[in-house]
Amino acid sequence: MADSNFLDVRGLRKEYPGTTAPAVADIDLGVREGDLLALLGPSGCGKTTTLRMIAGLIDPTAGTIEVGGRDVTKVPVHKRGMGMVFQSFALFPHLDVSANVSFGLEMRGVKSAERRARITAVLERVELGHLADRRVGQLSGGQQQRVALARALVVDPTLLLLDEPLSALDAKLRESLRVQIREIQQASGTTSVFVTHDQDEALSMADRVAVMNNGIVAQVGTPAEIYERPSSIFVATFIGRANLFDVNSLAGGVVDVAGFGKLAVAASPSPHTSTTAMIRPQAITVVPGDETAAQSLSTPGRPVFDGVVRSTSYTGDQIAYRVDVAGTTLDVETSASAARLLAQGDRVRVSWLSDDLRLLGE
Amino acid sequence: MMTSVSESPPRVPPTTPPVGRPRRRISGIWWLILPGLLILTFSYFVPMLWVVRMAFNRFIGGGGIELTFSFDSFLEVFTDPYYFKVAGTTLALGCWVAALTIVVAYPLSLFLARTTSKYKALLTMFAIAPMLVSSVARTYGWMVVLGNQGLINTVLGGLGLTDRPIQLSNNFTGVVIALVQIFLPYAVLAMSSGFGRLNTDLEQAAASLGANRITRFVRITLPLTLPGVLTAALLVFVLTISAYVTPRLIGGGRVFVLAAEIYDQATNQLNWPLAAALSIVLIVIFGVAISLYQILQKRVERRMSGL
Repeated sequence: MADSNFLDVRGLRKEYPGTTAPAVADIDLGVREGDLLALLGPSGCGKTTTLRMIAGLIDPTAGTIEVGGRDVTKVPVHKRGMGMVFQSFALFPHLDVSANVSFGLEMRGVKSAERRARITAVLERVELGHLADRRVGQLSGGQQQRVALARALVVDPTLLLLDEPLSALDAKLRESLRVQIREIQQASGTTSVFVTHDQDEALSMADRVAVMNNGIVAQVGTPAEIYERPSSIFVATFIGRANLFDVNSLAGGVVDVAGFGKLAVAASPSPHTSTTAMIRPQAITVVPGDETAAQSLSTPGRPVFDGVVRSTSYTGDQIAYRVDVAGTTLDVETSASAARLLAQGDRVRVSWLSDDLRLLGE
Repeated sequence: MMTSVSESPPRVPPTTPPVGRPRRRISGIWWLILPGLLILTFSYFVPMLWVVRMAFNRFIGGGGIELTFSFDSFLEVFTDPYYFKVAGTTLALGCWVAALTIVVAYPLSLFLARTTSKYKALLTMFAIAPMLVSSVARTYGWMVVLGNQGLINTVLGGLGLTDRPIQLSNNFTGVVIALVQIFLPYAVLAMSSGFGRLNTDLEQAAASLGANRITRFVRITLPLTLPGVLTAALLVFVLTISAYVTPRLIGGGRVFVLAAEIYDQATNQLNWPLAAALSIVLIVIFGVAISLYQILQKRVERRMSGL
């Protein structure tokens, strides 16, 4: 596994003088060739510092960075051959679009004719061919960030590093550019690292997500692994919404939850020490409390509880309920087409698969 | 298929034309401009017109002035090689001081604009603190430092590095040295305020694209700081060519500049028409410098904003 990583970060650490806790504390990361890794975390978690150390813009206190089997830890930034995209776009305001894109090619001594061909090709790829002669100040934010992407990609970088590239754009644009960046990244097969604080961005774009908190990597995995099997309370609550239960762990994959009694949980690496279990709102089924509907839930091994709908929130494709069950309020989400709308005060039954109730580490 | 969302500028609702007959009245803004306008009119425009008028009068020896309309004073200014030399010295002084001040102030301003130190405010204050001391006092200070028996020559002689004092005062060099120091804070202020466009991300982006330190400076930092440099250069140039005290005192009567010459003609020779004509020459030099500055600035701005 580790051998096939194109980017290999080992024991990477950054301490700033005059601070007690390191900004980045001995993290290990691996990215396979052509993959996109998202570094996801709240602000101040060390994700940008990590990216900038990979780029060579910040010197690490300790640790190594290998790209394609070559140790680049001591290589200065301008010799790393990586492409970087910044939150601020960082386009050169005194140059036009093609001159911005041309910059990296000129630094590599690419001949003028080839330069022109490559600039045209990359601008076509980001759908900006018609704006080649524009000054960057005349472009919209989304266009500017596509120029920045073209400028980073045109040099065939060993790694593409994206530092919150969508955060300065408005929501609608963010989503379309998200898709576009992902398509271009996959088409070019450029191994990429993407820093974001937006969980939707990370989950929708990345092959793998590294969730960071307080300078460490809390969990690495595919978006589905991270979402469905979070390892800690932090990951469970930072990504998506989660219903948390205080539990007493018993032997044999069973926990004791106040009000709910003994519940079976999914297999977990450290069942006996855990005091918290979680279930995603989408994993909970809710049906009207009458007999016929409740019949559908009577599968062996499915815990079923009576509840009362406390509030309803309809958003078109989804319905979110808050349901009072056994003295706690559960968040439940269901696809709007699947069920009839329940009203506040309706008596309901809720249920879930034991595999969806998971124990969490601290 | 990729979707692209275009960002359209917010629509401005069409302004409805005022109903009825438009009333002529002075809008509020004029009342605010009025005090400044009055002060400028009576303290600047009117005296300036008077200076222009004076330049066409004729000087009769012994302080007499004939009210007439003649080009005698201008003829004197444009035919006497002495005034050519004075204007030349003034221009040369302006250029040297502006250039050297920029060279000294640029790295300082760049550092102040970029530093993230918590002492930034304090450092900026130190850089501009010399402005608290009057330029007359600083000029006397430089006389003490630069004189033949001054600090520099005493130290150099004492160390046996020179057998004769180096001529640092009573000449052009001394005036340049003193003016560079005196105008340094102005240049630092003008430049660091003009360096706002500089953003470390730009240099980092250039670095990530393969530019080394020197290339980054030449291709990114320098072009982006040029507007600030131009402003500072103009400011120092204008301050220098109108400087009177420092060229007088450190020049030791050997450095002749327009400002000193105007003073001399007006107060010692009582040749007001000639002083007025020289003033107009100086104003024309200002005008040319400012026009040049605006042309350059516009050119730089256009390249930056891309219109």
